[in-house]
Amino acid sequence: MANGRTARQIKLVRNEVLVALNMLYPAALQADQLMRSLLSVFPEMEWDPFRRDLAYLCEKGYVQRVVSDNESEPKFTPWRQRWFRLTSAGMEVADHVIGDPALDE
Amino acid sequence: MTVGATKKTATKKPVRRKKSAKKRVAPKKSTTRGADAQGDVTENPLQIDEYRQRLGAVGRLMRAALADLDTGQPPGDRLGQGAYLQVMGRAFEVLDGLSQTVEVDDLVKISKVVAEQRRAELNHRKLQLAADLTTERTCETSRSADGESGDTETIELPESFGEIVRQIYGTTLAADLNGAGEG
Repeated sequence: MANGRTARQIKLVRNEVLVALNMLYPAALQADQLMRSLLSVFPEMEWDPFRRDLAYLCEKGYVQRVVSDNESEPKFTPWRQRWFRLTSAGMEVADHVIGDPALDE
Repeated sequence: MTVGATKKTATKKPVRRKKSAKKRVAPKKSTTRGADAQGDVTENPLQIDEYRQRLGAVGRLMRAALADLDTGQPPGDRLGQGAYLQVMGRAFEVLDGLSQTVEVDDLVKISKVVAEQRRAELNHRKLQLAADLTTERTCETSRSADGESGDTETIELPESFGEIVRQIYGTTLAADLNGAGEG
């Protein structure tokens, strides 16, 4: 249990983030757009846990941030407006080419 | 009359069974990650399948229509990436049903971004051309000067020369961009 979510819920959301970005690959999506889209499947999802999941997936190397040339100070761009896309490693996990115990159900 | 009534009820029942059968069969077809998971977060397991199908269709459309605009991998050339991301983002929102219409403000914003990108691109090329021309002229003058003395060796430009050119044209570029942003 982390922040009121079960391990199963956490895995579900993280998996779905990967699958969603995989469907749109190689396009990038803003975090806000991604969350609004996922709300149709996870209506009770909240921003803070979602942001944590996104940060986790970035640190894992499955998702990477895309810095637009419009962002004068990328560090100060709000998370909701940041762009993310799947990495090659993330694509492999989403396609089940490689497994990750932290994401497998 | 009673026979007719029984026939009606008899014909209605199989229809109901078919509907329920469809609902039960659909999750079994799925082989994708997490599609069989249910209960904790999603009330209806079909939602994930439907969601993925919808996103798949959106992805195919976006790749077919906008893939050529991709400027390459993120660590590469970032020029034009802002416009590409804006267009992709808006296309996704509309196709995924996050917003039903494209508002005029959005179109204005996107067209401004595209115009600024184009302007920056042109200025970047101008800067490169100017730098190349300056280098060529300097080399020519040094050659003609050396021709009188009979020496054909080229004189290297001072290290700070490139920086000076960059500063001069860079200032112009920044002023142009600011002007475009205000306009």
